[in-house]
Amino acid sequence: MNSLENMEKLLKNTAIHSNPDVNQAVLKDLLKQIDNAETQKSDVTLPNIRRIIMKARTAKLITAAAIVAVCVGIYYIPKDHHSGLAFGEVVKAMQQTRTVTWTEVYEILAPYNNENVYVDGLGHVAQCAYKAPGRWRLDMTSTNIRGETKDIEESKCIQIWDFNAGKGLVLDLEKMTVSTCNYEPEPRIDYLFRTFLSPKTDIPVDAEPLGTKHIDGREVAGFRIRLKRDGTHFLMGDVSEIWVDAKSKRLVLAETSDTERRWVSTLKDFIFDQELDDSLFSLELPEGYKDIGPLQYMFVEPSESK
Amino acid sequence: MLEDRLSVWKFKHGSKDAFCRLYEKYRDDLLKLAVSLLNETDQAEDIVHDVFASFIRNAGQFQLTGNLKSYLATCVANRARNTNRAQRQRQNPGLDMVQTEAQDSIRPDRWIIISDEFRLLSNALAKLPYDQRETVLLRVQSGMKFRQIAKTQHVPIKTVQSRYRIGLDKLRLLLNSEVTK
Repeated sequence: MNSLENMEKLLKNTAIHSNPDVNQAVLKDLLKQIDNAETQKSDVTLPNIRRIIMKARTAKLITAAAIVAVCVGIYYIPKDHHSGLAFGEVVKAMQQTRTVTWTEVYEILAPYNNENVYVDGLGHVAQCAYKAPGRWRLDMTSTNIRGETKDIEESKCIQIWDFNAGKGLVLDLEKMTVSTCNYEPEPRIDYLFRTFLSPKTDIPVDAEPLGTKHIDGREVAGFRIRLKRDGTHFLMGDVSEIWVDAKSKRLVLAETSDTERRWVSTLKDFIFDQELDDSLFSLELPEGYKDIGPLQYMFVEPSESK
Repeated sequence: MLEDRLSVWKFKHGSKDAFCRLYEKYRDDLLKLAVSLLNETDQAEDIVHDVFASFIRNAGQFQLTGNLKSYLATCVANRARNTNRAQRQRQNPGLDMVQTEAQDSIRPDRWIIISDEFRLLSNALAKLPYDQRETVLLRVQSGMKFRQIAKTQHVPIKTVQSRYRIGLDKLRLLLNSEVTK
């Protein structure tokens, strides 16, 4: 009856059917998993991107740099009864921003995850610049924030990132080396920053008014921001205090940390809407630097167990 | 294939509809493969569900470099092989898994509905050594090339071709003997 050819046909054509009700139930469950995966995505993906930066000896966390964005990327609108300034007004004012530069002072206070980067007083000072969605530059000096020099070899680097393009450059200014980084474009990392440039944001957060005070002769209004744990906030601290100019409604000072206070980052010296030369954000390899190849980083292809 | 690439791309960029299309397109083929490999519907259903779930989890990092159907079939085959190996160790080490006959499909919560013809075929397949069964099914049902199967099984391509011919021949004999009973 059955030649080999017929056997092949038989195997091919003998169909099974699936129960339509169960098909729908399974699909429903899978779609739910997609929703969950979306929520967890930033928890999974962003640490990898953070790892890019951690792999560079001179670099530490870009984390705090994104805080500026998130601090203001929120749409919960409590009103500061002392200043009369509503948080929504801050968001609105920040959304008008074209460029920002600021200084970040970042200090690690305790071991972070399993990464062996903790030395008492270790941190960095970074001159940060944001030009357009996805485009960042950090001129960073790793140092001992407390002014002590023991155990810490000061080093300087420049990081230039285009998160939308999935490209980065890390220049070691002392060794005159350059590392490149190509990865899957992850606008999500910048979406935190973009939140204050776009009125559409859904990062859940509570902002508690802190009243007013004066910084450098300016009246500022404060908010304490707590991000809710929903997996979308990886790049910023759990708790932040921001102070905004009562008149311009833009950031003057921000301090952020995680709930365990394993690190703290202070953001200051904000300058808004100044012209920033495009060459500062160029991802072309600079002359005179030795290309030491890509940073040790890649997304892992999914593999099935054998 | 281009359509699959587009669907994968869309899915990676947040389209649930794209995922639904892929699910509808490959669900039955994967169920058929899983139940043919294991001759057991409960585990086959679990495996296919897990493969789709894993696909979702890894979507962000997934790069489709070849044929999606082959990729998913390989995922099913790998899981089925693990299941088979685990069962063999539990039941009778050193022997191929003693298969139970493909189970009845009357239960309303059953995902897979099996026809008598398929049951007959599946029971015959279950009598083949696992490697031969897998080779035959990946080749015929999933349309994979011998080269791809060899890579999946970590054996030379000639071994795969030989497994295929022997497996198919045995299957023919088994089914002929069923018919003449």
